[in-house]
Amino acid sequence: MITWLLLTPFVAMLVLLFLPARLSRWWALVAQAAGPLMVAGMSLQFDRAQGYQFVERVPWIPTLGVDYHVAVDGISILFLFLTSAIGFLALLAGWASIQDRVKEYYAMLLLLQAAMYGVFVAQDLLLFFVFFEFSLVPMYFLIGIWGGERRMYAAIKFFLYTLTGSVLLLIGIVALYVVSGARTFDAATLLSSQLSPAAAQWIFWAFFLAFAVKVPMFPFHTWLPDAHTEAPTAGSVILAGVMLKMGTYGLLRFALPLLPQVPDAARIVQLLAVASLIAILYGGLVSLMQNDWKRLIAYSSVSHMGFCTLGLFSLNELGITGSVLQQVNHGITTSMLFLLVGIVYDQRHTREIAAYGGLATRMPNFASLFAIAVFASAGLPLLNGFVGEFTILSGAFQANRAWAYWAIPGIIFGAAYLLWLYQRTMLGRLDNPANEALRDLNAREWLMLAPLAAAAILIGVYPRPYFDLLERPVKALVESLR
Amino acid sequence: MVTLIPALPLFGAALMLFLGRRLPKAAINLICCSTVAVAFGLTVLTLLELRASGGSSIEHRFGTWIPGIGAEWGFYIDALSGLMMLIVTGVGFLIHLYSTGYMAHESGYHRYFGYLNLFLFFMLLLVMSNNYALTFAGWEGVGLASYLLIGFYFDRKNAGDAANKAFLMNRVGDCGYLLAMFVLVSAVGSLRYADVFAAADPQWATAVAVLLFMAACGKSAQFPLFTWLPDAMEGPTPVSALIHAATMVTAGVYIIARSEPIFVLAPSVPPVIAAIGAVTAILAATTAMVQYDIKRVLAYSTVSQLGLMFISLGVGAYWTAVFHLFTHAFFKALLFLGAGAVIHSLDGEQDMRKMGGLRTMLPFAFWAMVIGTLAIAGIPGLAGFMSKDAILWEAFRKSAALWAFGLLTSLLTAFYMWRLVRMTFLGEPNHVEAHNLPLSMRLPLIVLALGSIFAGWVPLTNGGESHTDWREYLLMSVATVAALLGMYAAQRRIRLLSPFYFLFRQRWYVDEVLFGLFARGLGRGGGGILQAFDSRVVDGAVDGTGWTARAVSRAAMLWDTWVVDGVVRSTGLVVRASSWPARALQTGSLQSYALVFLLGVAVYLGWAFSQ
Repeated sequence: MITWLLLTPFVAMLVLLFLPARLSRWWALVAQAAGPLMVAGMSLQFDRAQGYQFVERVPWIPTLGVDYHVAVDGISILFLFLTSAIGFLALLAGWASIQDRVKEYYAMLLLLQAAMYGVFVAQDLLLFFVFFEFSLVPMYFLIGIWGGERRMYAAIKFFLYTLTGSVLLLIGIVALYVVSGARTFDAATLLSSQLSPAAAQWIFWAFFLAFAVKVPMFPFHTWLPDAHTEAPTAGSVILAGVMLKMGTYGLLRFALPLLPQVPDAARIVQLLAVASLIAILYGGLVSLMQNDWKRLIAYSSVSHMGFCTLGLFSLNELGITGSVLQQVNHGITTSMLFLLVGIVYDQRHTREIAAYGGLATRMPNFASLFAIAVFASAGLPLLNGFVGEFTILSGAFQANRAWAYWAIPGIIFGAAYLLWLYQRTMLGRLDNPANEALRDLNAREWLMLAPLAAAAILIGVYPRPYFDLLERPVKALVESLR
Repeated sequence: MVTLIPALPLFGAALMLFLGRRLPKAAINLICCSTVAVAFGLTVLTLLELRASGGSSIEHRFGTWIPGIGAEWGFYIDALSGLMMLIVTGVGFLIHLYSTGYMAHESGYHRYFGYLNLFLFFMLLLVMSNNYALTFAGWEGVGLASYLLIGFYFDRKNAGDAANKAFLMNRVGDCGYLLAMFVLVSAVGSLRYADVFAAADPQWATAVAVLLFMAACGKSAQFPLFTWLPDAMEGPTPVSALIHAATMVTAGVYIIARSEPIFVLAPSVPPVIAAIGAVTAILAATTAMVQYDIKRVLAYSTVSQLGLMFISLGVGAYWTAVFHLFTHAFFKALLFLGAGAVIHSLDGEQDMRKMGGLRTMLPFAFWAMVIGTLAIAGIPGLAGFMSKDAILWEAFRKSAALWAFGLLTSLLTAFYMWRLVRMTFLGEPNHVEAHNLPLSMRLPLIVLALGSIFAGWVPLTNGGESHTDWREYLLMSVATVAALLGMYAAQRRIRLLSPFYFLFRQRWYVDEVLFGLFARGLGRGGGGILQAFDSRVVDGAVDGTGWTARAVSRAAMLWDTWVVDGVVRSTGLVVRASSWPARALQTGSLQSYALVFLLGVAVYLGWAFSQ
């Protein structure tokens, strides 16, 4: 089942290369639509009382002990669902606006999709590394070819940053392989092997840095505003919606399990929580200062991902559950925000906030959906953001009260920069004549936004299924950390 | 049945916001007013049922909302929440009815009623919930509805600013609420009122009490978080009456009254509440004295009256505070709707300096305003007198200073309210024409006027203590004299406290300080510094690394070209030079090889023979 999921976009990409260009977007659409259906099928068969399921394991490089080993648990399946849905919606985002090198564009999206699925299901460290790396290349091209004005700068910055992370990841994996002497790259075996304190420490830091760049945690975050801003809408959506989560997912799966063997772990966790808090406050304050609509949302991700890492480093069930849930929530709301900007950008070709204002008069439906996204992102109860934030902060409070106190102003900043953005773009008088020609949402745009809005409300009102799904894997992780 | 009470307004709101654009006005009126009317009816039935059952409360539990922290879907109805439900649905209905007349010519009619119904849903959720988390959902939800309604005329810049300010100032308070819940989750493991109160413990009670009080300061506009409320007057006037006078702003009073079991375990907190209440009451009352915008006078008056309620909470008289909340809902809604009638008749004019002499043209509004004014000023027998007197008495029993603050507030209240009536209705008429009021606007005024007169006789304060203490009668007379004095001064245009007007006009500089400190200082200053940090330092480091890398690679390239390659090349030269003899020998021609071979053989043989 998982292999089918991985192969669908990949094979679709190969077929795409032989199709005429005008068919490529339809073909890609069909392939991407299959994703959510397949994941939905999997989740129907998924038994949350069990651990890893849908296991497939075939030797790949037997001499080194590398296996093609994929499986999902409650955490993975949530991310698969997010990935498949975001992939589908991102495809719709460029439906009309991508006009040149159409075929290559859709090929890149499909390739990226396969790689992202792989990251969330790989149970073999080398396999994981391959997928992790492979996601980098299509994104580099998406930014570099179809991006905004400063796309080359952004693409190269993105590539260099994350490549540095990847090198560290590879070093960490190889070191772990060598030091443990296990003769296998199986993640579970390697992560539970006995290490010397020094080795554990070095490998932990290698993993941590590799994923911290991806999240991105302060102070490794400056690739993010450039990459998110310059990327085409689909690229921003996938970056924010899925690829940032590859970082937090990596931390959760591969860095945290090493912690018990690391000497002085409590001190390190303290340090990392402080880095998360800095990201929350810093990201919030810097967002307040942005004059570029997309850049503002990009910076808000720094703040929101800070909440996610804070939850992880709380090392208790509430914090980690909240973190995973918030990663999904962030994927939903931030994707929505980027899709919304994209709609306006495609018509006006400027991201300058000052160029807008009073759009609510011309685009009432757009303004309503934007309001839902803004309030979901600001953590209003009965919308999804609140559930995650609240759970994370409860967990953080139990881990260390001071963390919650320091994180709290981040909530005020969050409301401040979002509402101010909303006011400057939607409210007021429509006095820029260039905005007179803007039209309200069309059917395709409704199709992109309505599912996300519905998910935001649904998770906000009835988050129980997600907690149930996460209960077993998170409990197991927390117990292994004691 | 209980579920229907909040569900009906929610249904109305959803209908309006999704389909409202296609509905005729009559349908909108019918749907939105009837959802609220039915909710009111159901509330009455529920409370009658509760009374008949003989119990003091009922709890409905429907299921988990957020697992792990004890947030659930559930309702808890007792006297306190029952009273709040009656106010919310009752006054809510009257204001819906009034709005059908007031808003008749506005665009965005369906949007207005959608938001209004949405507000009622969240407000009912707030007061009916059986746990802190769901109350918080209502708490934030009313903030959202308030945001949407303050910003209803969103094409005005002021409206957008005011909406943002209200939401953000409330957010500051909300942080207290959130932190209080974190304390409860880690201490009790549940947020359900019954569980929390059963486990109430002095160890954490103080922290929770302080944090909840902080939340209440935001929502109920107490010092220093009160400046959003006057600005909120940018919204339509019926909204000011419902949300920013009768219901939402009293949520802070509600949450403290609800949490009484926690506050009684934290003896150090109530004095702070009383002090903040007293300060707020005076600051707001003095500011109201110098306002010219009719709605702003009423807004500051609301802040001031909320201050009185907080004094009452602070001296431990929880039900007295709720009693004043109840009477205040009537007379303040009446005053706002009366002011709305004036504004409506004068096509949106709010400056009292441009009014005057309206008594003859708007007799209906005049009498409504006079009744409301007498009620709030504390003329014996009317609703405001009963509840305010109760608060003053409770305050006096704790501290004479608090009583003095309350008394001064009463005097100033009478002054600024009569000033309002004089400036608006009395004197020479300077308006030619004023529209008449439709029935839909008159009816709510009548009901609220009756409430403002008689609501004080409802025996709310538990058991109704008999007034036996002679001191109480003395204080009552003093308060009455003060009220009359205040009105007299206003009528005679005596400028009370005029040396301090520069302070009152600037609203005691609270806004300036807050704005400078947070918006400019922290927001713009801090954000600016960090932004610079990001682009200079962090990106500087990154770009610097890039530059260094380039510099290094250039150096490496030079090194490569000149040094390494030089070495390589010179090596080549050396080899070449040293190899020329060998090369010279290797000509490739067989004859020369043969010659060399022969020479070699000859040399070898020569050497061998010489041995």
